[in-house]
Amino acid sequence: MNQLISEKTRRNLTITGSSSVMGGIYNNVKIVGEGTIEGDTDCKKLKCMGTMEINGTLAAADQVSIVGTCDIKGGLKGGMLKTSGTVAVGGITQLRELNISGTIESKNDIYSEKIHLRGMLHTAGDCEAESFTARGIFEIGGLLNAGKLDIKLYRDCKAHEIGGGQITIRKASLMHPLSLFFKPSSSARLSVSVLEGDHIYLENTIADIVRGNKVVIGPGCEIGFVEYKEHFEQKKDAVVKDKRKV
Amino acid sequence: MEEELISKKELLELTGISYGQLYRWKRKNLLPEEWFIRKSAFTGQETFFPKQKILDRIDKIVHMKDDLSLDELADMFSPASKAISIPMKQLIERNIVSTNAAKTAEVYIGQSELYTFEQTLCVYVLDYCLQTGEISLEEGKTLIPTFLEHYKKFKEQQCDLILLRKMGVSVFFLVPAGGEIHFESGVKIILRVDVPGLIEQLKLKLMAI
Repeated sequence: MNQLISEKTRRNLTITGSSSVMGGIYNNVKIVGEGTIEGDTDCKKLKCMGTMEINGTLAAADQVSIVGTCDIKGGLKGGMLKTSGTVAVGGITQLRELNISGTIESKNDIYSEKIHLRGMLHTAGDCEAESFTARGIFEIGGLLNAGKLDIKLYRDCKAHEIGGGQITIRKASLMHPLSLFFKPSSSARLSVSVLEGDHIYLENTIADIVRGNKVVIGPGCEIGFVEYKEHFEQKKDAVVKDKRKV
Repeated sequence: MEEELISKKELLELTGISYGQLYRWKRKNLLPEEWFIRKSAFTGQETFFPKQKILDRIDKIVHMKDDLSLDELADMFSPASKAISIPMKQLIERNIVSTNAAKTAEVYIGQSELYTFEQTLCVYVLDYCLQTGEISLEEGKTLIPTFLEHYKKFKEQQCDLILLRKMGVSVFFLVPAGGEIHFESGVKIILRVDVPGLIEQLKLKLMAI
């Protein structure tokens, strides 16, 4: 369908106030106030300030920016998502980049190149990214799979499984400028059942099994079993019940 | 079909790859999600893989990753059709399909100069079946319309092509890959073609063009 409509015939869609429209192919979509889109929507850019509901899937090639609330019943696909509000997605999220200062709630898997989290991420499915940076809260029902995982714990975080290349989990520093607005809890923990990676550094983590090449267990950790290949180090204030070199 | 499984730990030991690589390839869709079989073990949950499939795949990735990017590899392993069209002449010249198969298929596909990936695949499957020597050219003629009509219904799902014979009457049909089927006595399965395997082979051959 995309090819049939040339770039020129894509029109802009603007909703101001309260309105409901049909889905379709648009250029830029802008919603100020309250808008409902019935059906699948394909656009270049979508901007929402207020409340929006899409009863279908949303594909936005360039950017989706949300200030306010956005409820997408279907999947979300496209370029970059920037949110400082709340985004709920029913289907699969597949984006180039996710920049979350607010909340994203997904009932399904999330795939992205880059995820930068400063708010909250909640998904019932898996979460995959080449780079995953978190300075907030996340809860992942499935596998968190990332090439580079850089997590600073501000509140309790949870994932069923974590896997990747470089995994660094630290407690948040009180000196960070962000800490003025969003005070990290000193008792923040990450709970995970299985964590596997090449280079692993952990703080404040509760895990049943940790498997890796080079593993460093830092302060505040409670690990059931560690399996390592090359290097293992256990800092003070860390509990490791059992470990084995393979 | 009960497959032999291999645990993640054994797999890494056997192939010498790291956790990072394994997860990376999973992210790039080089290893399909269905192959990650989670089972509970005494140490908690463990992941297992179908042994033969994953070892074959990893062997291919390791050998080809220097020549092809991971995205190109993912494209090759994916059962999805490639958006390409190829002149039939070129397929014959490059020995991808035999002249015999191409001639037989021509009648059904039409005289078009350019073949889509699906059409090419159909000719390739026919060629493969003829090469095995199990089917006659006459039977091949029923294969083409069957395949062309029904293959697309499987969409992203993978399928096998099966040829049955009973009392000299042959029947072609497509089933979801690996699916179990049972028959009355007297029916003989002549051929079971692993279509995803052929797709992979074909894509590799086409890539050289």
